[in-house]
Amino acid sequence: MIVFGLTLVYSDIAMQLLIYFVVAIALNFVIGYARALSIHHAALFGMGAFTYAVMAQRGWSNDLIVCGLVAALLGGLVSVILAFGSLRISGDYFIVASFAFQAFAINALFNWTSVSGGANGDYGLPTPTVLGLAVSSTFAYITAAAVLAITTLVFAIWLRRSPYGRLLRAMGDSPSALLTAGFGVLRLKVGVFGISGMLAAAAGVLYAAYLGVAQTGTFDVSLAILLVAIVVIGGTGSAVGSLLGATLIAFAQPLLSNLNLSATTTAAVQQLIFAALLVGVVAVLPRGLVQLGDVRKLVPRRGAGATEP
Amino acid sequence: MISASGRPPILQTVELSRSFGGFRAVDGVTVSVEQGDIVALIGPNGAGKTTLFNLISRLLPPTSGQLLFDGQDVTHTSPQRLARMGIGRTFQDVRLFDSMTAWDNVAVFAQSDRSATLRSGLLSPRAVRREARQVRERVEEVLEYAGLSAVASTIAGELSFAQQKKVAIARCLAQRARLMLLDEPASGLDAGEREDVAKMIEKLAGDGVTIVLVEHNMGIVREVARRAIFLAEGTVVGEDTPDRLLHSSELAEIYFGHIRSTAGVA
Ligand SMILES: Nc1ncnc2c1ncn2[C@@H]1O[C@H](COP(=O)(O)OP(=O)(O)OP(=O)(O)O)[C@@H](O)[C@H]1O
Ligand SMILES: [Mg+2]
Repeated sequence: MIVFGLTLVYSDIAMQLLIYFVVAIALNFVIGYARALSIHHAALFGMGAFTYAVMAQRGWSNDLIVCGLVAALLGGLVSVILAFGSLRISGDYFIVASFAFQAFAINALFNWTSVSGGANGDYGLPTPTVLGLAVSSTFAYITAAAVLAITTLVFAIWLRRSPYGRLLRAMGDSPSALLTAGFGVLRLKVGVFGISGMLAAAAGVLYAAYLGVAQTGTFDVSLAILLVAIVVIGGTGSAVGSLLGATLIAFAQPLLSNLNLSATTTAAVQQLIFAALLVGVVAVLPRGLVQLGDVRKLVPRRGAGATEP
Repeated sequence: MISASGRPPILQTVELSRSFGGFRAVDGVTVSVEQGDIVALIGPNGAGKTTLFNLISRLLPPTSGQLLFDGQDVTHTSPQRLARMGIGRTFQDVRLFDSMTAWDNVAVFAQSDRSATLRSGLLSPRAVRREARQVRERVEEVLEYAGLSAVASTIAGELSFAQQKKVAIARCLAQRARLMLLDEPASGLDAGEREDVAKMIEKLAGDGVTIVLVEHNMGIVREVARRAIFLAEGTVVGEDTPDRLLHSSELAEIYFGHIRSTAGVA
């Protein structure tokens, strides 16, 4: 019994870790390259989850690849629209706009009961397939998540090293200097936001397929903040950092749930602990957990956050 | 206005102005710079020198007036387009891509416009390889020219201040700028490093690059500039050879009077 219980928990943790990792990388693109602090990635992730819920429930498709592509298209499109917003609204105001979009999107989804199932959510979702093969065992789910996570990681590393990625990094460091190099930032920001939205929504498909349910409450602002915490704790602009952050959070969450507290207390205690973690890590390691890798650079670097005309 | 060489001035501003709120930071500036010249833009703190650079590189749109590059009206041209046309600049606060290596800093300025789309990276590997080779050759050539080959793989934020300023100039070189706007290229450097930068500027001019530099160090101005433009409160108050301009007691009063009054701050 206990062994069975433990394996169940560990598979949950593994799925959580892998999927959070993918969404964290997506969020990291926007935070690290476009330097826009997004609070709306939970909504993009949720859009993917409900894409699967709707497509599978109505019998349109329960293929992870088909649903993943549809969700990616949708998430990418919404994210590109937000990219145009980020060009008009800069800095702190973007955080507010992003927060507003997150709240609005989840609220609208909640009220669109034919899609979201309202307060109950969509449950009893059919098990997914991949290229005709049923994904039903825990091992199959974890394999699917691992394939998505590894593909995402390889893509993130390839992107960073490509000439395109060089421009993205330059945009993060100094957009005005990039302009004087002959590159407008519009195209690059739209590109980054688009990729980010596609990944976040694709991860949502797998999440809903694994859980067999999709509820709007799962994708609310507290998840949005949790995702930001993963990126910041791990280290902005670093794929390895996102992995460390996702691992920490994926293990911390179930540990907290085992404290035998009521559901509401657990949620409150969780948020408190994540907030403390966030502040603690950022105070000691301004560049996140990845900084542990190079002790030589523990001294904070100067010159961050200069203003530009 | 056509020069003796028969070519239009590389740069002309006509009554160029820029206000912030009601404050005129640049106020009706009309100047012209000949191809191949080295011109110093001098004046007290807050005179509007950097703002004028921001207008010429179009990072700021002018409130009124006209900007011509190679005789062509570029008043409404985007900064990225102007950069591609051949205007390069450095910043008073340097603005390197601090988390990237010196090599990558220069490479950004050597990359083609096409490299700014993800599609180009995915769909035509041959074109990507060809461009990568061209960028590599250009970067290595430019780093060599600027004497930076040894620090090519150092993170820009960790370079010495003098090296950072050289990287900034190297970036303009990589984009094949024909007009370089250098904002205080020698400030904060010691005598030896200043001499290095002066040599680099003269070498660039020798290779046909037109240079406008803002500089508070009059030693450098005298050494490299053939002409100086004196800016005060957003307007041009004098234009001559550096020696004659600096001997004008009236301008010296504006300049040094101001320096004296801000000496406590510096
Ligand atoms: N973006 C801006 N918003 C408001 N005021 C500005 C802005 N940029 C410049 N100014 C003002 O315009 C005036 C000219 O500034 P500018 O930076 O061009 O001077 P400068 O000649 O380069 O001085 P320094 O020698 O100190 O670099 C200053 O009074 C400055 O405060
Ligand atoms: Mg200045």
